[in-house]
Amino acid sequence: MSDGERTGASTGERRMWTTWVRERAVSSLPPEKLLPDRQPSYVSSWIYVFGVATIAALVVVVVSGMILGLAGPAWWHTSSLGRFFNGIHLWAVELFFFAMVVHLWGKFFMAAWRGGRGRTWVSGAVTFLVAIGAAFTGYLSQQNFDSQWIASEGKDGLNSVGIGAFFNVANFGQMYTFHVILLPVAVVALVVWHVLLVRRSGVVPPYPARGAAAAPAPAATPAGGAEQ
Amino acid sequence: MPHPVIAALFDLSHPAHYLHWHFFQMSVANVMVILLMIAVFLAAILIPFPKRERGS
Repeated sequence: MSDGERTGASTGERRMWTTWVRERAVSSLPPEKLLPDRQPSYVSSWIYVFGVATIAALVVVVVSGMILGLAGPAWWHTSSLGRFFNGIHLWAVELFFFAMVVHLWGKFFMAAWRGGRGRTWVSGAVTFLVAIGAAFTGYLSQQNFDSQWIASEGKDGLNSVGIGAFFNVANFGQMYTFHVILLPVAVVALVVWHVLLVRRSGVVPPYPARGAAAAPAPAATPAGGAEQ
Repeated sequence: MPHPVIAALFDLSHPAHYLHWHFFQMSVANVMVILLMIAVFLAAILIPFPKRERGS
C-alpha cells in the first residue's frame, strides 16, 4: 500500500507538494516512533542519559544567550545581574560540551553507527564540529582582553589556511553575527535532525555477549527514565 | 572583593598553571576537566541505573 493510499489522498492531492511532504513525514516518522512511551530495557543505563543532558544544557545556552544579546556587552560586563547571566551562559556551555563528549565516547564505544544508523552518527559528529565553531566565536564575542588575545592568536592560524579573508576573527561584527545567528541556528537544526534520526532508527542496542548471536528485540520499559 | 560565600573556590587572579611534558602542554584546569569527564564516563557505565518500581 502506497503512502497516498494509506493516508487517503486523491490523485490530485498526491501531486501537491504539501501532501508529498506530509506523507513522507508520517511514513518515516509515525507518531508512535516520534513520541514513544516505551524504550528498550537496555536504555536503563546512565550512559544513555548524556544525550538528553546535552540538549538540556543547549536550551540553557540558547536562553541565556538571548538574554545577553538583548542587553549587550555593557550590561554583561558591568552589572551584577549581567555578570550572573554571563556566568550562566559560560557554565552552560561547559556542561554542554562536557555532556556531549561523554555522549560521544559512549556512542563511539558501542559503535552507534550499527544497524543503519550511519547518518545519526555523522549528524552528531557534524553537530560537535559546528558547536566548536559556535563556542569559538563566542569567546571572540566577549568584548574583553581575553577575546582580543584569542583573536590575535587565532588570526594567524586561520590566515595560514587561507580563510582569513572570509572568516576574520578580528572583525567583531562578523564574529558576533556568526555567534548569535548563523552557528546557533545550525547547531539547533543539526540537533533536531539528529534527534529525529534517533527516533526513526531507535536507540542503538549494546553489543551482543561474546559468542552469542545478536539479541532479539528486547523487552520495552516505560520511557521517561532514560533517553538517548 | 567578593563575599566569601560566593567567592570562587580557587583564586583565579593569576596566570593559569600549566603541565608541560615534551610536546604536551595543557593548563591544569583543562587536564582536570578531561579527568573528570573520564571519571563520569566510567561512573555512567559502572553505576547501575535505578529501576522503576512496578505499578508506579
